[in-house]
Amino acid sequence: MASHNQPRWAMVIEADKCIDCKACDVACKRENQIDAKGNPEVCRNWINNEGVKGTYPNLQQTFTPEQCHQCDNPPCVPVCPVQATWQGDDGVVLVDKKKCIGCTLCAINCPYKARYMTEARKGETRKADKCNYCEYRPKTKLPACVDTCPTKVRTFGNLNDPNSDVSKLLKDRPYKVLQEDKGTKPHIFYI
Amino acid sequence: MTVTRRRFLQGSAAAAGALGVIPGLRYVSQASEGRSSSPEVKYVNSSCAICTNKCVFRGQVVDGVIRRLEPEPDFPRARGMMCARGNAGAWTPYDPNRLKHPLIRTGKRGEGKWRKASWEEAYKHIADKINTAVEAEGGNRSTIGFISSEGTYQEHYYQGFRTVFGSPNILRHPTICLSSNIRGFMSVFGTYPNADIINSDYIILAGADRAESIFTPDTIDMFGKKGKTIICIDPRFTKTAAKSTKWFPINPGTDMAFALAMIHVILKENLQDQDFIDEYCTGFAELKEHVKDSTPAWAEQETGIPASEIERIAREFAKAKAPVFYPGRRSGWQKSEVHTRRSIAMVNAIVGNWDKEGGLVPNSSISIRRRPMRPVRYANAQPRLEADDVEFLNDGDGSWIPWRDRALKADPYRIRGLMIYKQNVVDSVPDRNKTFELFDKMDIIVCVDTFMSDTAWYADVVLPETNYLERQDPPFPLSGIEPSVIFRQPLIERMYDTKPGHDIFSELAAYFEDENGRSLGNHFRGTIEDHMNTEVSARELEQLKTKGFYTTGEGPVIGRTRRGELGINTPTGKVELYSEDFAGRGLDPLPVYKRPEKPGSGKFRFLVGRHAIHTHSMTAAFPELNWHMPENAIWINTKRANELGVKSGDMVKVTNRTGGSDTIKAQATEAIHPDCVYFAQGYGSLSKDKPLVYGRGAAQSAVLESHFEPISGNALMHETIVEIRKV
Repeated sequence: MASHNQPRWAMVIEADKCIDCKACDVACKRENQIDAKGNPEVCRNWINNEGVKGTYPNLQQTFTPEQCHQCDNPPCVPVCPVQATWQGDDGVVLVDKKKCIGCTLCAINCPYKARYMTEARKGETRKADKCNYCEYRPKTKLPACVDTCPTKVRTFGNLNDPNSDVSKLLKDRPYKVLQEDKGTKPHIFYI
Repeated sequence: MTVTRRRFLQGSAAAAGALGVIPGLRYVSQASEGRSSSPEVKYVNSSCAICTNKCVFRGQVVDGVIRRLEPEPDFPRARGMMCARGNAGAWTPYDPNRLKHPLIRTGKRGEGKWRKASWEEAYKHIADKINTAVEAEGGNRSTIGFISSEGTYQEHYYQGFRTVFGSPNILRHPTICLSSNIRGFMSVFGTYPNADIINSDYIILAGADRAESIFTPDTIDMFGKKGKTIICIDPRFTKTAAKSTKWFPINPGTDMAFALAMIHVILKENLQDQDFIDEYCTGFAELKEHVKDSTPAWAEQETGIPASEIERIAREFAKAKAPVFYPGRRSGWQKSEVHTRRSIAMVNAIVGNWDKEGGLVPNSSISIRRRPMRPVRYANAQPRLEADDVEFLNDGDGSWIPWRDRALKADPYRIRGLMIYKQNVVDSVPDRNKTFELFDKMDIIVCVDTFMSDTAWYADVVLPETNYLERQDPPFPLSGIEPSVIFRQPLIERMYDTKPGHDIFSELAAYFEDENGRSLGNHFRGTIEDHMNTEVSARELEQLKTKGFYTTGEGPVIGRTRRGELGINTPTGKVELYSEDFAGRGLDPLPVYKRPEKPGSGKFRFLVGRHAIHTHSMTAAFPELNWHMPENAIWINTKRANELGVKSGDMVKVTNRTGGSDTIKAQATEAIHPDCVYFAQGYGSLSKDKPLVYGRGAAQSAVLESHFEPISGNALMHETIVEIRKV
């Protein structure tokens, strides 16, 4: 568990601003060099879109971006037999691909289905992968999905800093998390 | 489309095999795999080329390979956003099928047989063919048609070449885009304004699909800021419709009836801005009389939008703090298109929405010191082909449909050659069959592009322009409410034997002479670098190199016509609700509504439209975008699909009234007016060098009929009527 001197990274998503333009997905693939080869399952973030609902002309359609929820109680961590998946002090759940044996237990146990398996390289197994908030990027930068978004659906920041944009948004507005009943304590907040 | 997530545990990566390995991305990952533990990361600010917005970005280059194009947060027009297309553009230099060196056709047109040529050889081949064609026409240089896209960084070099070459036949992009819209707004306001969307609170969108046709900063401001009322009238339930406060599936082509009824209500209830009208407008009495019978009840019959809703919208609009009836693009594109636009402009005018915060604002620009090229006079110069066909023909743009009809009939003279610069004519101009008929009559077709578009595929000589991420472009004044000057500079070194437009046109010019035997190459002076140094100051150039743009620093420019710093550019100097100019030309001085024809039993009106991941025909084969939409499908209203016995996934043949057709998958959906069908552009490609879309899905240009509107010359894409048959 993170101490209060540590940052605790989190994201706030204002889903009703989302126009389903896919900029977050493409930016993420670029930044993280994910060659999905046309496989829609291979992505770190995605936009839930259940299609057009209703009967002409009374129609509606919603778009809800989602990704790894960077849980405080991540079910993917304890099930990993080789401790390849772990949570940093800043709350970000990471995968050590050198350790990963491709058993998919983390993926099976993620209620958000936020993990994908990479293609197997020569002499290696597939590896689990997921959003890591573009963790290798310099700290001055935002994750690619956040910086690129045309309508600024996503706000990223340090929950332990009361002056951060995420803290301010959560202070001012009602919010929810997805699948709260699972007890994962997710850190993607929807307002 | 329903997105499901994570079925890999059951079925593994089933879709992975379909596309195979995408070498562009593999190139990137291989390059980065081999990198040392401390890679060299550099950032180069430059600007996007994937649509007309030209958003400035920070290019992240890792060990000499472009990793990502990040948004530049300080650039005022895009304010730190990069859309999917802009992000995916990073792939383009590494596209294995990109144009890498000049090509001369060896097989039949469209057969895809080429030989690699040197630049000198290609220039000489072009010059021989063009000079022979001109001689065969008795020295009439107008026999060569010049086609280009619009507003690209090096287009002025191309136009310079055309100017000194001596042909008036230029066809740019506007008449297959928004020239009717521009003409409609110009006739009322004297200019085509932008809208200060960030400060507006009530927006009406007629066809403008800003969630999918991303336009900066309007898309950002419209959907990224809450609290705005957005009314969307569109026969199609677009993503914009989904994000709007209220969507009305208007009967196609009846937008003018909606606008006239709004004016009727506003004037009847005395909600207009009389002070603005008295001071700035002319023709108010005539307009008031004109809309007397345009009641909401009448408009309900025409538009299908309930009269009570039209009344409510008109009232809300007139009472809003900063209302905008958005001057966006695709709306009618039917017979009375210019007048439809005029009526929309007038809805704005009568509530005083002009040159104020949150409203329509005339564009400003920052000038740079660019030296225009002087035309050369030729003895046998002929006027442009379609000079008599269009009332307000813009000489610099041409009018595609009548021009092509004239060229096909050699009326009044023959066209023997086409020089095409960055316009995918085969895929973007309606009625592909006619385009091919035109191509068949050509002695020479030259195509300058960066990748093998369908048009390049059917050309005789293909000249590869350097990719935008490898290229140095001169400064570019980008007009807008907050104008800027933007820039493009290379992120990486040129990978292949390509050249920037300037070099291509200046070098090609040297292969031609004027009638006095002087080389046309003499008209080109200096390099792009020289131009950079003279067009802006050293300080400005420095800022362009570091930031990719500069502005005046004064922010948005609003209210100049109200302060008298700028006049209203109409013949009367007033906002013209009634147009004497139109009357004098035998055109309706006020917008007269004409009911559009019904498609007829068993038929549909074909609609065109945009998709957020695509720019027309350009991006469908970008892997990261194609993954989201591997092929297009035709939207058919569920009820109508049932009548036809068509289910989603069935293949159908779409045929227009002139025999144009294509085959495509059906998508039965509630999201479209029963009279209409629609599919996205960019698919069903004929070029085998666009493998992801080659023969996959259908092409709009194959089923669009050729109709045009004689006031502005705009193509009328929504006049196409099609039949659908299950195959």
